[in-house]
Amino acid sequence: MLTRKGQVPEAVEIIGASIIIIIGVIVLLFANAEYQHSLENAKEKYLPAKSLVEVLDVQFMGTDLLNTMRLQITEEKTLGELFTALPEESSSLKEQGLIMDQVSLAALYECRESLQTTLQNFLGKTYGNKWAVTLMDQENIIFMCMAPGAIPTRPLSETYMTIPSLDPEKDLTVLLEAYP
Amino acid sequence: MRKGQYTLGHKWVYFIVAIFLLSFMFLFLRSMFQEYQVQKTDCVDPLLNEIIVAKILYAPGCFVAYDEELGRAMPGIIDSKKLTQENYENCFKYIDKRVKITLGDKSIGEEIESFVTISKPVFILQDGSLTPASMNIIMEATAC
Repeated sequence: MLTRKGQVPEAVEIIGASIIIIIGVIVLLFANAEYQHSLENAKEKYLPAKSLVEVLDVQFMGTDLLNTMRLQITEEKTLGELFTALPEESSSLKEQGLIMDQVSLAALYECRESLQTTLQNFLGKTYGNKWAVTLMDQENIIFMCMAPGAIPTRPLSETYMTIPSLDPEKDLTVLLEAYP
Repeated sequence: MRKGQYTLGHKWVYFIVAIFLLSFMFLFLRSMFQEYQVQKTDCVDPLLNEIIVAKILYAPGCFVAYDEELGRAMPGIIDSKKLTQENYENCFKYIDKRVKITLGDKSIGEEIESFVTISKPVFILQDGSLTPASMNIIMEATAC
């Protein structure tokens, strides 16, 4: 076939185009494989499938928190009522051996072993030793109780509810966290 | 070349092959997306599990205690009188999945070979008093 000066022969064009198509397909396949690989990595990192806490467990955490607030801690008080009395009646609760001054974390008070055991008996079958109950007002963490041996980290899931306080101008927030 | 004769040049062959390949790629991608969508919507097992747990924890027509004075159900509080096999059968009549519920020494539902178990902290209402307990909900393992 005759070609003008400077014109590439058709056979070269076709071979060149075919090579470019093949390279393009290979690049796309590599990109797809890389995407799948990074997706799997991200899943492993952020969705711990081997966690003790099942996905279904944390989907109904609100009810679990509500039930935890209903737990009878002393003869007169449920956990919700006990929280309502904090921090105003903290000295009385300390005398009853339920709470103590916080040592290591930023909260004002933490639970003593008896309260921790009561909560662990109730929450442990669902959350293992990977839960924490926190009481906050707008500025401070007033109280924190964690499962025995739990290490605070980025929670897998969390839920909260607002409860009244003895101080009428203040509301308290209770947070239930599940760790991976 | 004779009058009226048509020659199929190399470029034409290239374009025919290219159109064929592009059509093939388009159809392949379309079927891939379609398959993904079907897979995504076809698997309703996780949704079914959620409905089962929600029915157990929230539905006053199933096992949850009902406050006559307030006229409302009490989520997470199981009425021991309602926890019967007959109630289970009425409650899960339209759910095509086998479930077994264990609460304390009571067990209702059906026997399951391959299952997943979840535990929920609940209260049992018995003779007007609340007792904390752990409820095991055993469901058929998800197929997808």
